[in-house]
Amino acid sequence: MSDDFEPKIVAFLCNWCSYAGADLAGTSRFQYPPNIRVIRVMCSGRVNPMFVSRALVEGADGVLISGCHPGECHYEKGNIIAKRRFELMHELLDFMGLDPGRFQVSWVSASEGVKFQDVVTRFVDQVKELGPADKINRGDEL
Amino acid sequence: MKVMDKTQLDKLFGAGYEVIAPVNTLGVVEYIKVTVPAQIEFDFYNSKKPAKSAFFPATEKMFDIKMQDRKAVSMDESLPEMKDTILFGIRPCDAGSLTYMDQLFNWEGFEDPYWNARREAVTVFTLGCSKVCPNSFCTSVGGGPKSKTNADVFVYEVGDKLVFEAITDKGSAALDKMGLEEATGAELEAAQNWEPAEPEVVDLDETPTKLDDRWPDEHWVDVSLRCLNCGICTFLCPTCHCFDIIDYKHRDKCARCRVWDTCQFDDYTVHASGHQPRETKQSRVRNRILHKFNYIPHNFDMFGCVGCGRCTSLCPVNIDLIETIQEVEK
Amino acid sequence: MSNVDKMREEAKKLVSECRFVVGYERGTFNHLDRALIAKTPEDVDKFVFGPTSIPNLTLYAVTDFRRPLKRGESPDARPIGIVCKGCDAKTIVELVREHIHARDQVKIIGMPCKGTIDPKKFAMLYGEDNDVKQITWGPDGFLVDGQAPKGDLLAGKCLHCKVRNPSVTDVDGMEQVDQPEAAGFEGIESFEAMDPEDRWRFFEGQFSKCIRCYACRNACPLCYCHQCSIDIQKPFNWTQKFTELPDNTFYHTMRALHLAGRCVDCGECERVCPMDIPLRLLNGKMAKVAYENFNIESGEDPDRPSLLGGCDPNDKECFIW
Repeated sequence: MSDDFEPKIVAFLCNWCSYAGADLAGTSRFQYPPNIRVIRVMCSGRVNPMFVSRALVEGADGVLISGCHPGECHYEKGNIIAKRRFELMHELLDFMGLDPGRFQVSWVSASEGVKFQDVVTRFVDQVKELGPADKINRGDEL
Repeated sequence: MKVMDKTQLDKLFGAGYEVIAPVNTLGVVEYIKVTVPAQIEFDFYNSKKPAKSAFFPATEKMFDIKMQDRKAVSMDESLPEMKDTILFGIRPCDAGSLTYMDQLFNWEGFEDPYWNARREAVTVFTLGCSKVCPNSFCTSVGGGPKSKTNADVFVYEVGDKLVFEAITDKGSAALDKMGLEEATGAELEAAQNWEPAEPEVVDLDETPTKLDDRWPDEHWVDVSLRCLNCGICTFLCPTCHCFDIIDYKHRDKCARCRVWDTCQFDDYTVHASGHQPRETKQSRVRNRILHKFNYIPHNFDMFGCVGCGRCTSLCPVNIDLIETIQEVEK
Repeated sequence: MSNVDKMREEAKKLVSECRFVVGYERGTFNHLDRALIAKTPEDVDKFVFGPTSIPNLTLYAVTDFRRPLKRGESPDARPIGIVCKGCDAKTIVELVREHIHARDQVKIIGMPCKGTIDPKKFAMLYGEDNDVKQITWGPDGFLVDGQAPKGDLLAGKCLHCKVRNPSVTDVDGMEQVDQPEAAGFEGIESFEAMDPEDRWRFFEGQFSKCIRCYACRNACPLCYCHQCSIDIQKPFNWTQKFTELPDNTFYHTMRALHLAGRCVDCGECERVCPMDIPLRLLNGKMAKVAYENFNIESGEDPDRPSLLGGCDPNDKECFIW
């Protein structure tokens, strides 16, 4: 894969932890790759697995979902509910041979700017390794 | 009449035409563009997807819309770029459906450029049916296994050989370019005297008039109770032509497309207000059957059904078209 | 008294007190019995049952085909009678669990079943246009016109069947049948063992065939939503109506996920598919994950927790950072 491939990554960050974590990473000047496009959601439980499929169809190379650590959810168990869905989604993508590596979930709290930096760096590397998403990406056919 | 061995199918490709032919993709026989003769399938009753998809694809772009600063600045018609094409091996019933579809897409002065562009570029090679398809009744609606309606060339399958009979000038021009041998002897005789088996005749002559007063719900409730409201019968019908127009934006490109739609779906008739005038099963089943056996006969003076029997064979809950009509007529 | 006679007798009793009784009648084509919505004892006389009684009739418990009510009219509160095989009875368990029906609103005539035929296998072996008169159950396997069949006819779902004798029924005294050992997830496992690229090539080919007729969804008794998320057009649509690979993949992924932990493997989606897409594979995978990771098995216990509606802090985290 060519080195100059810069993946487009959609990141759904929970308002209470991960979004604040990303903020902290920013204010603390932790460098992370600029490939992510952040969408703030109120809870990782708000993220429907269809968001992931839709992003992949509409041209994302990867989808990152990040929420509070289990047990620390602002809404008590939103992320625990979400976890099951993502587990199933991951298994299904894997089963269909649809590069499950393009879909990643992580728990990042508001104080973990360093972890956020680490997660994004690792994920961008992982997606770069996989190359541009072309399996269900609608591309520029139209 | 010309003759060709089935092993010489590459002559089809040699004449400078593109070829659309029946291909068995993972168990589904459909008409798609082929590049190698080996892809062409001969052993089938009728294709699952009707040949209408060669003229009226399931998804078709109608307009290219240019966007600037999130505003549409221009809209250009995107007509299919068609080279001369041979549509090889369509069954007489599918070819028969083109009579209605041609009129429909050119109805009362409204000409559909997409349909016509494809239709003009295509030379139809109809392949006679040597087997009777299950549930078919083509002879009862004006067709038949050797009907030459709309065929430019009629193809007889004689053992391992194919005998081509040119019907129109377009057809004979295509045959000339292919450089085939003249049919002689046994093959010619076999083609001329070919008498294929025909499906049983169902009496449908009176049906359009009998259905005139069958609008009220009570006639349709019992026959539609089983219906799932899926789109199999309509999507796979050679004379169903409904489409939905959608605008689709992808990054800075935008297109207006049309996709197959069906009267069996819930969202087909929904008004902008949210009102659904056709909200029950019986009204949808009624629309499908009355359209084919009552509205089209009145408007176009022909049956809206070519009798291919696909809707009955593929219906997952076994709603038999003929049985339904007979039930309603009672 | 044979099971079929018993079924007719019970259905006749039920038909007077129910809105309708759904049973099987002889179809017109390819030996598939079809649903008969019986409202009178005369209709019940047409009921049959055998290896060709394939459709899952519990669908008609969730399809609402009453006419719209007039103002001031109250809905018909009488129960519905349904002839069920073991797998269909599992659907009722799921519907009760999801509060779609109260258990006493559905009268189940549970029919012991020795396995149904696969109409696609049958058409392959005997041809689409065959003159077979009758398929019955013999002492070991099927009998086609009294003869042993030309090959394997058993439907794929029946290999996995654990409930040849329905686990829930409102009718006692049916003659029970032997229960052979059910297959596990071997089929899924052998598919998983393939190379990921090969798996995608397989699904790519299969999904490309899809014409989005939604027969799989409409035939599924557990897809009872009034409006499917795929149909939503306003305020925005989840996916386009294009019958192209990305949209088809989106649709089938979505459907598999919405049925995760609920699908009872009645095999209807795969049977009704006009394009022969192996949909049970996706649902089977979801059932496997539900069973192995979350210890949830559908169709057995109406009080079990829901997979996607519930949660457990101790769930496995296999891929989360």
